[in-house]
Amino acid sequence: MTQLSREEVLKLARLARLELSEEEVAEFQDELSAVLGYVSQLQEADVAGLEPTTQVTGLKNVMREDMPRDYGVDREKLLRLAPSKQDGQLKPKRMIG
Amino acid sequence: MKQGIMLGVMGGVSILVVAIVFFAMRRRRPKELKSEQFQTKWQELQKMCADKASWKKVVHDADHLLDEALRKKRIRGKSMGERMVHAQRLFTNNDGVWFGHKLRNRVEAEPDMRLKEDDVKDALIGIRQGLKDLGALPETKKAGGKS
Amino acid sequence: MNYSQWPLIATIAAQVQAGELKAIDLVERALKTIADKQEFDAIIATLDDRARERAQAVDAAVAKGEKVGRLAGVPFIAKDNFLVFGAETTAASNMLRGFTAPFQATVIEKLEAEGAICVAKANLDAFAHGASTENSDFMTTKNPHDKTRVPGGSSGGSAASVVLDLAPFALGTDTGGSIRQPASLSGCVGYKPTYGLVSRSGVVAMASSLDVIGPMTRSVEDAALVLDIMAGQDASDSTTIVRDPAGYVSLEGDLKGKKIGIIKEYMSEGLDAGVKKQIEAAVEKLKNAGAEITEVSLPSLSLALAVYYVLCPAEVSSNLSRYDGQRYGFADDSAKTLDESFSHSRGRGFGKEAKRRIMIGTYVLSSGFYDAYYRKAQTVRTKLINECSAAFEQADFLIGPVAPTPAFKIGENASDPLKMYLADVMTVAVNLVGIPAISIPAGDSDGLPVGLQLMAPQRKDRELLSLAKLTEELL
Repeated sequence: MTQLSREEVLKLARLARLELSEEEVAEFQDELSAVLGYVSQLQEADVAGLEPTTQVTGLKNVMREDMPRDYGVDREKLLRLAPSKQDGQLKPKRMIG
Repeated sequence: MKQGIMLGVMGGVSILVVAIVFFAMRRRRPKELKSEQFQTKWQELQKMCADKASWKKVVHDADHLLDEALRKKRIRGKSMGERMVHAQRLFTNNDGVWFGHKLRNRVEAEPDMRLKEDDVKDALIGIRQGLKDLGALPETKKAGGKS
Repeated sequence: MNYSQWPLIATIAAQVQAGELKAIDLVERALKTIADKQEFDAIIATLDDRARERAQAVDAAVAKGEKVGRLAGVPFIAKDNFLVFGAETTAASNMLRGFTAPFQATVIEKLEAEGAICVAKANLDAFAHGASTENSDFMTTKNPHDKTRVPGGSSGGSAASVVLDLAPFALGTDTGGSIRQPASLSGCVGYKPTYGLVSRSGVVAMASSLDVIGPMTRSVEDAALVLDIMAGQDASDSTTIVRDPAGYVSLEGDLKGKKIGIIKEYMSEGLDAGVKKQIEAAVEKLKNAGAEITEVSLPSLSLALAVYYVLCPAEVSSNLSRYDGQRYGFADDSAKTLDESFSHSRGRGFGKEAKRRIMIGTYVLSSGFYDAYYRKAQTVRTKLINECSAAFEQADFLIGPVAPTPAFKIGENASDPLKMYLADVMTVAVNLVGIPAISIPAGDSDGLPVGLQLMAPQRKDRELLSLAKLTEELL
């Protein structure tokens, strides 16, 4: 696996909504390339005839009654955790413009 | 006199070597399975499916039939599971055969378990495809020429 | 194990229920020991007030003649990724500094319903990403046997807590070995149940197809009791499975005729000589006690770590996307737009390892790479599962080391993420397959603890605990 470019690292950071410092971008170029290089040995694995595994319990369509349950959590409790609020609502930063 | 004995010994050794190589190569070449016995047995199993009480035996026997095919094809392995792992490339649907095999294991481990019709069906479909992949059962040819 | 100030958990509960021991005294004892051993940095926060309140409630109930429960008055410590009332839940990350849980984890509720009392939150690698606690945003826990070395991770604080005798048991989480590896490096019992046996509702998610919760204790018997109380389906966690109707506390049977398979690939070079010696000695003892020892091979084990470091970061990148600086957790106020708010809050709130894993995960899931990495890894996972099923046809249980070396020095692997990842090489396969496994102390190598790993097929937790108890008695 070849070295990730600065642009590729910045693209990943953008997709993941992570703001990185200049040193971080340079460090991640090396570190991510090393890890991705290691895991690329999977390319050689012979998996003919096999299907991917998504979970190991074998459970399918686990259902429950569509009834609300009381977790003892109210609006006040949750709003107290919010960094920015107004009138009982979350107040995010400006979205447009 | 000595030369004669020497030639005799060398001749004998050569024959021995050729014989060893011949049998070793025979082992390596995968064997073509004789389909008739498997087809007969499979038809018997399908008849048994009609009776719900014999489902457990059907699953057990189908799994056993699959292992017979694996062993006749000289697939290596200390256990059936290991043979199935080594036959991975031959199976078109590993999940299907493993489902059948694991169902058989469960039936053996839990004598009281109740078998669901869907599970038995899926197990047999999976094992049947495995048997086809190994050449124990013929690939069914649908009208129109596509199998 | 050496001397402990705590009797067996069942004994403690019986004595509290009988009025011979007071829960408040047990809580005070725990809090004092925690304060005395502070230099090891195992604990992030104590729940002083809440623990005392609950202890008084337990004692009052006992005085009234009420039945409190199977863990009456027993103090315990929870890894700081469990949501618990009475202290912050930080997951050892700046992202959750100051976060107080609005509800408690299901297992905490279950344990408290039986009378247990949470007294403290243990340190971990931030968001459970790591094998040493060096990735904690707050501090590095010291190995109780050697303060220049790591206790293992990510449940390093929990492991150290048990070994330092801070409380009778601790809770950990295991995604790639995070209960077993610190148990091995610090010297206690660490149990990883079958995936799905214990509800994960209320525990900070890391990799959802791999995460499990388990007890860390001084004895197998204690681990079995705690598991028995935690195990079972939960409507709040749809990945939970039905528990064994026979429960997990009646550990019976003997070793005669039990087939135990040594995993060939784990006993190769790369394994520390001292560790190898202890594993072989343990196997010898099992053999002499009547077990049938065999060797099994799982060829895909050489790819297990690669599979793990594709699937785990992928799932992490998904689970950590909830930390957006809007509803809870760290928020960067200097941001001017919503977009900046996301990037700045996450960029500044997350530590290096979290960001590393998020980006690797983003890469392997992105279009153009999804098939080659993520889907391929999931398919190799199937191969490993099949090989494991085949191995369990040749043996009832599997055995091997937990970690390739004993506890390493603080700082030794911290600068090289790949080197740190290799500490997990013998534990990740178990999580990929979803089977139960346990680490029990098996002597030491140059004074540092060595753990023995035992594994069983899925849902055979009681059988595994039975084997572990027999093995524990032999070692």
